[in-house]
Amino acid sequence: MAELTYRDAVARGIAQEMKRDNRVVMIGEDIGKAGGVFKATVGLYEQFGPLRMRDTPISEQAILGAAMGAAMTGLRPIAEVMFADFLAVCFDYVANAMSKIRNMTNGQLACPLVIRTGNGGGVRFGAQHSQSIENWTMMILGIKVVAPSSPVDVIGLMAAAVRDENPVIFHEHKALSAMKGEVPDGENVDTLGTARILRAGSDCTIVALALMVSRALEAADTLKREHGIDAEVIDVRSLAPLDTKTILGSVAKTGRLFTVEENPRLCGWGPRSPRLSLMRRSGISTAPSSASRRRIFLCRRPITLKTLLCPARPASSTRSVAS
Amino acid sequence: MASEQGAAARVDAPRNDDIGVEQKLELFRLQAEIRDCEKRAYDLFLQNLIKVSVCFFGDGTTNIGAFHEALNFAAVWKLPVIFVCENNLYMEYTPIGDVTAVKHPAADRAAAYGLERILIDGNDADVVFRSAQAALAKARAGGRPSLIECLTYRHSGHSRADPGKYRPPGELEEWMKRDPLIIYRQRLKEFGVSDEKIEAIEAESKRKVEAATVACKASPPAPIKLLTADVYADGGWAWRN
Repeated sequence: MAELTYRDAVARGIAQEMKRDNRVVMIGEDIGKAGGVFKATVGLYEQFGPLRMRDTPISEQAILGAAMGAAMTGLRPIAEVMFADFLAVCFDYVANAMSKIRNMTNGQLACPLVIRTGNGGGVRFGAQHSQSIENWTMMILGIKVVAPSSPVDVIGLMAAAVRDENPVIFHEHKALSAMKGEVPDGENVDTLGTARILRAGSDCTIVALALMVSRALEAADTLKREHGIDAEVIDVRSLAPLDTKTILGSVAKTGRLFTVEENPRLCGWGPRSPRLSLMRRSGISTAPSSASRRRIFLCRRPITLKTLLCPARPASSTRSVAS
Repeated sequence: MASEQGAAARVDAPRNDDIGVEQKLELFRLQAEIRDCEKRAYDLFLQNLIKVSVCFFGDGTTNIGAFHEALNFAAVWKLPVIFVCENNLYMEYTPIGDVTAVKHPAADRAAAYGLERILIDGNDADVVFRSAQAALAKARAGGRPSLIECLTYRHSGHSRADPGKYRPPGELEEWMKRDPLIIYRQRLKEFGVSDEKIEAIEAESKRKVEAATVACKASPPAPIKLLTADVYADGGWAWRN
């Protein structure tokens, strides 16, 4: 056991994977000689050299394009997009390219890469450097999305992300950089798509992500102390895949669900979780007709296939649209 | 337009497990050939094969930011990449000259990345071949990128839905006279290749294209499972546990 900061855990996680597999390389702005603007890659340049720790110009599109090409031709790249907000300048590669390449080539091409990015606010950057944009990335089919809340999770989920055969977006919360936590010695490998119950409770379920996890735990303590309410706290950790089993299992027990996220209320990931639980609990297995039926790519298809994708008029005109 | 491009980009190539018997035999034959190759020769072949990346794009692409980011990357990292711009004079519906600060959208920008200005006749196959060879040699020798602008013309509209009415009268006709097939037919004759031989080559090419067209048209519609296949590496589309 050793105590590590969140930012040191990033470097430790990357080093663990780079030592294990020489196909793992990193590219990004200021990540090499400078050790990263958030000091999350300190020491890696010295350890692995300029070929595996490549400093790039301020060219987010080229960073993701190069990482994608490298992944498609056999490497396991980790690309850094310094601030998560900057994913907006290279979103073509995320939403249109790396997420679709496998499906569009009928499974012939793979794109196993990791995009690390500094997400979230509270560190006194400007409005264009402080957003929590995990919900932007969660809605794209074909990529996985994780957001660790502790040093040990950073290492384990980083290893899982690097070893995964899909593109993975790895949201590191900027405000957690200096957070300390115990990390077991030796290799740490976690599993993507698994939430974790951090505090067991029977009265309500609080689901949180990244920085909000510690806030949720504090809130649970306050609830217990001041109101006698026993809250269960779940760290989501991974938005895609989403561990609905753990979340719904908890809600089935407590009957009440709160989601805590660092986002505008509209279109955050939070509404997704209650929606899922309502769907399950009311026995509705697919979304109502007001929503698209499945999360699949929209592309030119014969009409018979398109009807699977786009909500059609209900067969019976007496059926009302519920949402 | 975006969906048009997306659909065009989709590759519906067969996978090993669902191809026909003939294709399977062909695959086995190729695999056997590869096994028979002397390993060293094959390695050399692979080395030569994979060491250079060739990137094709149109004139319209040169006004996208990523084009400039990629050229800078390739130049800074001395990458063995050959960038090939097919300048057919129209980005989509708009003439490229109306929306570009320089006359030659790729060649005139090469200097900004410390690259040689290469502007060639894209309708002359020999010129293109020699240019490509020189760029390949340069890439293999020192891992330096090249940017080649091939001047050519689009014989039809940008897409099926575009009749190309924005072109000045007579322009298409002038360029059709310089069709690469016409130029090369003449070249072959100058080299002493007989009309019969040329016609046989053309007939064989037409036959192949027609056979492929017939095969495509006769293929069954895409199965429904294709929609949800290979979205993730596990072969499926499920995003929740």
